[in-house]
Amino acid sequence: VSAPEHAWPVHFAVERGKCRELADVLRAPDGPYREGRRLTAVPTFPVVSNHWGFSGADVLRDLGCDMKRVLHGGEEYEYPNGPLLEGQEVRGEQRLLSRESRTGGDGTPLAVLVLETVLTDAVTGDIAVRIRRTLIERGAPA
Amino acid sequence: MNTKVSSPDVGRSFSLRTAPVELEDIVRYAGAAGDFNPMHFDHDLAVAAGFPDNFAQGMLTAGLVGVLVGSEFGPERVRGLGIRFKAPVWVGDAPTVAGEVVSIEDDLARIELTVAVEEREVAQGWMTIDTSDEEEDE
Repeated sequence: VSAPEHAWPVHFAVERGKCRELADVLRAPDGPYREGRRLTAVPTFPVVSNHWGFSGADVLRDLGCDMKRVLHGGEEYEYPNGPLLEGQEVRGEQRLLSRESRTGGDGTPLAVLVLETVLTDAVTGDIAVRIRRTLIERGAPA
Repeated sequence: MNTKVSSPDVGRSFSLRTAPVELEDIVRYAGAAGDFNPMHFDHDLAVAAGFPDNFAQGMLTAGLVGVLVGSEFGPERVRGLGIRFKAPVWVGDAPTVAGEVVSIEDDLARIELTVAVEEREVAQGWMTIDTSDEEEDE
């Protein structure tokens, strides 16, 4: 099943307050996630893009998915140049990579969607992070 | 800053435990991440949908794992994190993260992870750690 063309712009800044907020709720010990002149962002920091434009819920709506039937299958982050750091600004877009029909163990039809986001540093243009998100919609053929 | 970190030697295994995930953590995470699916904090809604209780956002679990393992090996050295969700983390659960360093290639250590609540596996994952600042052993 070919993937329809979808792309959502993503842009966010790595703000000190947000670094600390995530470090608090994720119980980071003392160290680079919460101390120092330039904080290290937690590995899952790009979730904050929900606050900056398209949220995950918006993307599901655009894809015609029923949010109540969607499970989050998994998530991958690759930081080829190291973790995001306070003060960095990144931009790019999220795209639908694939949308495939599967059958669950109990015979339920499933649609498996893979979304990829590539974000580059707004100053250097280097790749900052590649993200792959897998979503599973139960009861929905792709 | 002198953060005490471990060295990702091949074969090294470890087990790290989080504190229990409470409803307050789920609500605070919803606010921090901007992800307000009420299934995670509205008890009546979760029960009406057939769940016994509220459960943590997958990304809350992923975030806890990332910070726990990242802090163990050095936050600045993290180069990747992947996680596949297998089962819900219910309110009150305290996941344990078991990991093993399985390889080092091109200055990148790969750690395989299993996240479980007692005997119940809730996620599998991996992290990669930059080893280029480790002492040369040639």
